[in-house]
Amino acid sequence: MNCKLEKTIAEVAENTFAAMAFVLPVAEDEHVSDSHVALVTAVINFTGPFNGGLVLTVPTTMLPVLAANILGLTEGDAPTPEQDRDSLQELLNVICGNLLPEIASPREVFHVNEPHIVAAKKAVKMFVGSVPQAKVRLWLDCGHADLSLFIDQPVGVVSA
Amino acid sequence: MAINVLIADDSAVTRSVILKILRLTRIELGEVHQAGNGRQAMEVLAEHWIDAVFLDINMPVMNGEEFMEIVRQNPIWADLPIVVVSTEGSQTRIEHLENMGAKFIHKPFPPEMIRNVVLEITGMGHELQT
Repeated sequence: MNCKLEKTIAEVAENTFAAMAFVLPVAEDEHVSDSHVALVTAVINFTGPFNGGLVLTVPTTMLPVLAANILGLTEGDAPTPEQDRDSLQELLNVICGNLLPEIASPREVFHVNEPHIVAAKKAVKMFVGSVPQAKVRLWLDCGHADLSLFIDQPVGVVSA
Repeated sequence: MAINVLIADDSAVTRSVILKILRLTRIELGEVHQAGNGRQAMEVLAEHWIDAVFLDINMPVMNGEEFMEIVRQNPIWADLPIVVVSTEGSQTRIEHLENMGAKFIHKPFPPEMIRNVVLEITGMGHELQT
């Protein structure tokens, strides 16, 4: 695994969760265990100077929190299941869009497809080789988030 | 004077967020139209008078860049204020969009960024300050 790449993914993802959904990272030992809850997976793929995709998995219990925060819903206004799914997909979309210029040249043009909710096993099989270039787990104040980056050729991380 | 707005983004959540921010500004909103892709946005534009467009880039069917290229070819819409709200990070693509006369807001965005650009493109900033 590529440590620099994982660090970049983590930074971009944490910034996105914070800016969009007001969800902040916590230390692993502060995280409340959610290892036995159901999970939901979203995938987004891209083409360009290199092709690949990003897979995001979170506990289903996180979805209403993310959606309510993104939409600015007040207490008593629960998001719909569609809003829950759309919120996760849009978070992934924004993470991917912000990640690509960090791992490629800022002048490169990528085409990013629309994100989708999929079964976790299907998400991995969508990418050649089925082995991610990098995997990251974020510990957040309302749950954890797993991100896997798949690319069709090894890349280094552009240093800042 | 109320402004008619078109919000084009394949994410319904993002459309809701932009609309919510617009409603929180002191600008009077007239008709608010939404589209999930560039083709739907073109259909709205053909049928309604629109004063400003908020436009995503990565959309299915017709993306925002294709939409803009078609719109700018029509003299009626040559000066239509278009605000691109996108995760797009390619400087090449951003410059191309700005050369077509778009303002650019990068996702994720703080609410005041939407507010400020609306005040700028409508010229209402100084009126709301007095």
